[in-house]
Amino acid sequence: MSKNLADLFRTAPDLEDFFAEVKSLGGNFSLTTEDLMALGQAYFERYPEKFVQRNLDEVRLGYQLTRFCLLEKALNDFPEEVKEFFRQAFDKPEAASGLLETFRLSTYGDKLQEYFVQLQASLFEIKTTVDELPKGMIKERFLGGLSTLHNVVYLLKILISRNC
Amino acid sequence: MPDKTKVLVIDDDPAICVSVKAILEASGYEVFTALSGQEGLELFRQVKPDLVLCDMMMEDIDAGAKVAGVIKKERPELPVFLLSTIGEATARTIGLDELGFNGVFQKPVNFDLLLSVLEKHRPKN
Repeated sequence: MSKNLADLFRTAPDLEDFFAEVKSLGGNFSLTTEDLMALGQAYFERYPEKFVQRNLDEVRLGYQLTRFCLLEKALNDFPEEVKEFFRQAFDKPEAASGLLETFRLSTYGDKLQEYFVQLQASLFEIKTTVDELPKGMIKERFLGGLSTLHNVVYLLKILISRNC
Repeated sequence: MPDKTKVLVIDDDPAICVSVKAILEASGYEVFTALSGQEGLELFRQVKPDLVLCDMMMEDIDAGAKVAGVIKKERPELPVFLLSTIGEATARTIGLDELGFNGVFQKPVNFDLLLSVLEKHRPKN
């Protein structure tokens, strides 16, 4: 069943607990613009925005939060082993080349291209939802999180094409 | 072998810095990253980059503009590009060149475009 990310965030004592909760949903949660707004509001209730001498640690938590939720949604339909490969590649882009080599030798290695195309399509759909958010700091955090995901997709595209 | 073109990336999100660095290094650039405007200016003076990519909102909401202003005062010829989520319409109205930027790349960044622009700004030996 669909869970509300904002409620999960409000009840989780810290970000690690929230991530564990979201991960356990396996991507089965609603991610409409309303859900993004609600999650963004919950985040800013806990970490209010400042415009001078901003708390960069709290800002970074926001990017981490949005990145995590958007990626979990994008990986929704993948087998767990494939999800884990992509989670690691997005978490450590500097290690993506080695991770790709290992994944190619795994059970799902011959379907890498297929999964990659599926991931790109999911992220494109998610970007459309983020683009619909009204201008403001909530949208800024989601665009920040989404940007890293797009960057790593571009990197994976380069690395995959070099090894085809 | 000629030295690689040096790019300085300044962004408060470490994930952006790491991912942009990985892409640019895979494309043959030498990349340095800084997580704040202040750190960026220190690195700018230390490594003498050939090009700078800089976020706008960091320790202050306009930290990127302050960085670009200082860089342009010290090295007016150095290309400085803004990496931002401000949107195309806002970018057209805020006077990027007056702030010290040579242009803007909207996040999520179109890397085909960014790499072609970097290529044009490679120093000629």
